[in-house]
Order: sequence, then structure tokens, then C-alpha cells
Amino acid sequence: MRLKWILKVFFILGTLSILLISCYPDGGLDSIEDYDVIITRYNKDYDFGAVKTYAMPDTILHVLADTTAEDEITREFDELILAKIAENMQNIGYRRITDTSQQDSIPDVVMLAAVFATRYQGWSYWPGWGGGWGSWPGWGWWGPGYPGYGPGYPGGAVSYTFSTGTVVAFMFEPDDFDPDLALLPSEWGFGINGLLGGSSSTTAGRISQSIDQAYLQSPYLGTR
Amino acid sequence: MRIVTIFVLMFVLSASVFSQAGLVNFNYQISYPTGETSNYIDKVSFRGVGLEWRKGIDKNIQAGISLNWNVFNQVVNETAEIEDGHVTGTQNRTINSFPLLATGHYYFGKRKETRPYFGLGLGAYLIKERLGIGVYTIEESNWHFGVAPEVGVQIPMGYDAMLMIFARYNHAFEANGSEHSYLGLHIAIATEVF
Repeated sequence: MRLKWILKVFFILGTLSILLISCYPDGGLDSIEDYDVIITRYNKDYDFGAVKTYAMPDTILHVLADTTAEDEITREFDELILAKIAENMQNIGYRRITDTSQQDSIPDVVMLAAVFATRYQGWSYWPGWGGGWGSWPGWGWWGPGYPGYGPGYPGGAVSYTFSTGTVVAFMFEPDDFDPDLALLPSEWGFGINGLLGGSSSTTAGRISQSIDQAYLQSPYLGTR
Repeated sequence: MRIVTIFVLMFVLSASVFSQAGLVNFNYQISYPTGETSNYIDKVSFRGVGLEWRKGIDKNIQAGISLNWNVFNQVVNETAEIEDGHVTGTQNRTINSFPLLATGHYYFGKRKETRPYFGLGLGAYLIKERLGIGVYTIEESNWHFGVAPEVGVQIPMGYDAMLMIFARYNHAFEANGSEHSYLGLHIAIATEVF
């Protein structure tokens, strides 16, 4: 009789505790802003202080899955994205050159902005907590249409996905183009995951904040 | 795996050799991260449970097993350094710790009285760490060898039931570059069994 009572109490306590404890609590993440991620990568050997001028096309490239794919990403925010990049470049002391046809007006670097109009999945190496964060999805190269990606599949690899609507921008030195590989290494770049993936009344504000944050977390940039 | 084997052997020996009365307790745990654990999550965990069986060797000494589950969770928004760059976003950090311990305890006083005690647990800690940032998730799982010194008091409540209050310091030694520790406060309902 007593054993039956004990078993009943322990069963109730056990069931309650398992119901109350969740392995992976969501931590109260509920707004779309909670899922924004701003990533910046840079070439540690590059002298960003030596850059004085830059050029930037007035168009944002929409990267599609293939040539027949339909572009479903809005261009409503293209102007805002370019304006925010220009504003931040000016704030860090880089002067924009708009007329590059003159021999003496070749910019030190070129900025290119793009939006992923497709979902991109890949792998990146992550060595474990002890070794720090390891490498994040690597983008350091700009090819003919698509960025190239970093380290491949060794042990500890983790998957990642760039959601549709990810906004990226890269800084290049025009002279560094490798004609054999058809690749241009980027000296600096940022990515804001999934920003244009859906329409939201807060999208414009999130674009402004996220681009400002990309420059804020890159203190090595500029002549400040 | 060797740790688990040792743990199982200790349990089998402690259960079969001695024949004094034992107790079973079900406990709720509040845990305070310390050391490297607090560098990752410094928020107190109110999600913890444990189930224990303690078997009497003599009037003052008990050996047993202890199975536990602690969940630590914290959301932070900060910029973290990565290889050749930085990442900013809302981070949802979680640790699931499963201590599986062989225990030994020394009790003061007499049976049916309030009895303070101290003890030590040895065994395996399965610790699963997870970092969610934006839509990305990184997970790592490691088995650690660990120790757990403990002090507490056992208070009779009648009908062979007891209230137990004890503090246990869990230290899971380094495995794969990861080390964890936390202090747990346990409140348990216990009953005497065979």
C-alpha cells in the first residue's frame, strides 16, 4: 500500500517536472527583429586607413538561383540600402566618386551591394567552444554572379542557410581581380540575414539599424 | 564510455553488498552557474530535477546513485567575435546538463531524527550546449568526468517521509575544450525504502 502511494507521488512529480522543463527554451524570442543577424568579415592584412575614395553602382544586384528564376524580392528598399551605405561610408571618412571616367578619378575601392533572391545552403567549419567561434559562413570572394564560400566539410562542420532576402555588401580593390579564377577578393563585407524575406512595417527601420550596426562593429574601417 | 562503466560497477557493488535500509528522493534544483559556465550563461537556473537512491552501508554511511537534469538558458544581444569578423544578433544560449553520479554520504545523528550529512558524488556528466543566433543554431555535446561534493540535512516528516535540503557543487572537468561548474540547491521529498 505504502509503495503504491510512493510510486504515485513520484510519478506525479516526475511527470510535472518533465512538462515544466523544456530542453531548449525559446528564451522569449518572439519578434522578427530577434532573428536579425548582422555578420561582418574582413581581411586583417588590409590597410583600411589608406582608403580615401570609393565608387558604388546605383543598382543592387539581385542574386537568383539561375537565369530562369523569377525575382520575387522587392526593390522598394534598394534606394534606402544604397543611401545607408553611402551615409556610413561618408561617416568613416571615405569620399564617394561618382564619375569614374576620368583617369585621375579611379577609386581606391568599390562597394557592391546585393540581395539574395534565393535560399543558399552550405557548410562551415566550427571547431568547438574551446577554440572560440571558429569560422562563420565564409564570404570573401565575389565571382561572376555568386560569392564564393569558405572552408568545406571537415569534422565539426555545421550547416548554415542564407535566407531569401539576405542583404550583403562587399568592398573590393578593383585591381585585385583574378582573371584565371574569375574571382575578386573582398576586403570587407557585411551580411544581414533574411532582412527582405518578408514585408513588415519595421523593415525600413531594421535596414537602417542593421547597416549602421555593420559599420559600428567594424571599427578598423575608415580614417576616423 | 569508461566513465559510464565505472559508474555502473560502483552502483552494482553498492546495491548488492550492503543490506541496510535505504531511501529514494525526488528533488527540485535551483542552480547557480560558476566558473566557465557563468561566462556563457550567468543567469540562475530554476529548471532542475533529480532522482536518487541511497542505500545504507551501516548506521551512518550510505552509497547510491543520483540522476539529474539541469537546464540553463539565457538570451543576450551582443556582438561576438568570429574568425576574421564579428556577428551581432540575439543569442539564445542553452546548456542541458545530465549528471549521472555514484554517491557516498556520511550521516550524523540517529535514524528518525533530523540528520545533517555530507557526501561526494563521482561520475559522468553529459553536457549539451546550444547557441541559437538568428536562424542559425550551433550545438555541441560532450561527456565529462565530474565530482560533486555535497552538504545537507534530512528532516523526518512522519509516515516514513522526509524533507531533504542540500547544496551540491557540480564540477565537470574539461572535455573537448569545454569545462562546466555550478552550485545547486536541492529540495527533496524522500521516503525510506528497502
